[in-house]
Amino acid sequence: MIAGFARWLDERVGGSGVVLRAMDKIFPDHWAFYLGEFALYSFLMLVATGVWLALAFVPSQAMVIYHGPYLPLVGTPVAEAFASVLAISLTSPVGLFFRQLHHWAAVVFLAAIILHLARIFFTGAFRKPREINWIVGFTLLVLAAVTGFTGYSLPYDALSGTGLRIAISVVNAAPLIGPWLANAVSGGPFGAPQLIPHLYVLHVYFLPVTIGLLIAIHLAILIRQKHTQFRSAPARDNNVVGRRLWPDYALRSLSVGATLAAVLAGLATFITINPVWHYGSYRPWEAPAPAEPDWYAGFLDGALRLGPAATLHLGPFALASIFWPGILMPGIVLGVLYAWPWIDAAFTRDRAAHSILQTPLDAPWRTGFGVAMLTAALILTLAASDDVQAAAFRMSLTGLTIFYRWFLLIGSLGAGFGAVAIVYVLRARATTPAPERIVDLLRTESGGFREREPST
Amino acid sequence: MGDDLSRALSNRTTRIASIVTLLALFGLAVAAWIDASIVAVGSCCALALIGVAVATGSAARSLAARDDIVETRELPPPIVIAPARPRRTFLVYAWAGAAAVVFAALGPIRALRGAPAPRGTGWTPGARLVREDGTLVTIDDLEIGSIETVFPEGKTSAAEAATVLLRLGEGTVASAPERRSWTPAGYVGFSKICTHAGCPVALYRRAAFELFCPCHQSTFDVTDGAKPVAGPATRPLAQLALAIDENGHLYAQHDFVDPVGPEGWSAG
Repeated sequence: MIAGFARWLDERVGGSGVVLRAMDKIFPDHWAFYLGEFALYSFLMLVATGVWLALAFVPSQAMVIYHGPYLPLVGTPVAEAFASVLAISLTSPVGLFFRQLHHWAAVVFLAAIILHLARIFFTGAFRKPREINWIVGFTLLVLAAVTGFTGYSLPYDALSGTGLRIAISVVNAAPLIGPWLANAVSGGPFGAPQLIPHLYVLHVYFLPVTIGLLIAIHLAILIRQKHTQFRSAPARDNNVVGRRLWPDYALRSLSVGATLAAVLAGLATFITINPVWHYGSYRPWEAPAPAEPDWYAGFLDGALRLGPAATLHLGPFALASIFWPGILMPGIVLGVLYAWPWIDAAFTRDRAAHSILQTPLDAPWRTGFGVAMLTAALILTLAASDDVQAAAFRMSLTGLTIFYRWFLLIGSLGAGFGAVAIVYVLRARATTPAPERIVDLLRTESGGFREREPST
Repeated sequence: MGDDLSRALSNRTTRIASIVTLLALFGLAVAAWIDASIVAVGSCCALALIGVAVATGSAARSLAARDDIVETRELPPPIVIAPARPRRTFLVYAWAGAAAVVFAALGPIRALRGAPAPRGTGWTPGARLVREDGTLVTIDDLEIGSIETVFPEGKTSAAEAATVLLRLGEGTVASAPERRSWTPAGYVGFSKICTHAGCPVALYRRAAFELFCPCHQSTFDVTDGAKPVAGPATRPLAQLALAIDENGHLYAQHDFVDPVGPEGWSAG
């Protein structure tokens, strides 16, 4: 039946050769190669649940009086968007399941992209000829984070509304384009009624379509260049050792993807995520305390807390204190990471094409830099809950802020240099294998073997 | 290949798992249709996915014994482009064209900004202070050391007008001479929008006379014109000029003089 349909299709549009060749593509196998697939499968889950949610959600900030099953809010004014999220969550089990599945999938999507990029980074997979896919992949991380943030903001609850206010204040502090962009996003000053409709269109259409296109480009380049592989006996820079896409690799991948999806479904069923009805509808003059963002935005919020109280006035313009940690710091980090393939090539003086992966031990300074960056992100994320820590440990908040500033500097540098030192120690310990001696064996008349004397 | 695949797919585990998936999908449809609990809906969904995972995983396992295949990674020789350089004018036109397209997009994007912002925050001269529920604030309403969030009368959803009203008690307020008349009966009013990132400055530390922002911990001294004393903010909260009418109601003398809200690229 399948063969019959394939012939029917082939007689009309052709292309069976391309498909057959694609099905025969060889993929090398390693557990770390599945991290990118985790991201891909999470994206599919996001689209599947997102379509349903987009149809049920009402993108409007207009205030309505709440009448619904959540009794504590009955009779109070809430935003229409917020009311519709409550209706999705509390009137049908399917709605709550899809919403929680969507949020859990978003959490895993971002985590998988970050782990995948870390794998690419520490194994040198971004080196020539894969610089383009590094750029595409990094752009996907940025877009995924923005998509996550816009989605998190749509319910217009007290927590996300506060985050939105901060984000737009950061945008507003960007030199030259800041006020223009903040106004365009909000559709006027903050609180203008166009903000949620704008975010809705970005979140359900513009951003996911762009992500889908970039994933297609990412995979097309991957198939064209063929996957990198770790060192093994038959592996060379000019070959690829593994299994065919169809059926071997496809079945493994499907199994891994379905397992991930099952775990997400389990999380969505049993573990509550983002119960916005506890927070209430957003009112700009009320702040939830403690206020912390979703985990992937934590490092930015931590940076805002640690930033200096310094505004640089430039006549009619200013670089506000929110500019340094909110625009400058992420801008520099983003720029360095985007340019990393070229920075790495300049430092290692290695501009050759590679398809055999390195290990973190092969490039001590790259490993050190990566560890330092990850440590800095971790410390900044911790700093995003410094008020909770100060209250829990009865410490002065100002003292804790100063502590975190030093911790950021010394902790990330220490972790980076520590990693370099560990790499050198491990490399020295690794025993260098004795050079292979190639000899010719001769069969003797009695049936034994002897080495042929080396010819002079 | 086809034989291997059909053998792989016909193993016992794969068959059983496929049946489980079909049953679970049926259960999912029923559970969703009758609005059963989230546990029923979610468990059916998870079970269907576990079935797919086991079915494909088991099939993949039975193929695992096959040998790895080595394929060459053909690197097509790069086509050497003749070093004829494109004309300079062409490049200039190309760059200018790209820049013009980007520049032309700025206008349409700006047009999304909606209606122009109304001038001012909503505090008009003489506007009486009301709470969020619309009740007027009278001179005896606040005890010394307590605070209230107030709005101009009739504008209780004007976010930019949200003001923290504190009663500090006379003698506690150290105002500039020209602002002495802004604090009748020990009342002071400050914009509730933090000058750092725009969060509401919602917490009051009564013992220290400090307003505190829960987002990034900017701290403002309310006895000294709400100047920032800790945290990342660099600009004081704007002060509202208060007065009390003959009925004892508090009102605003005029709108905020100083800028309200977070500092951005456009100063002031």
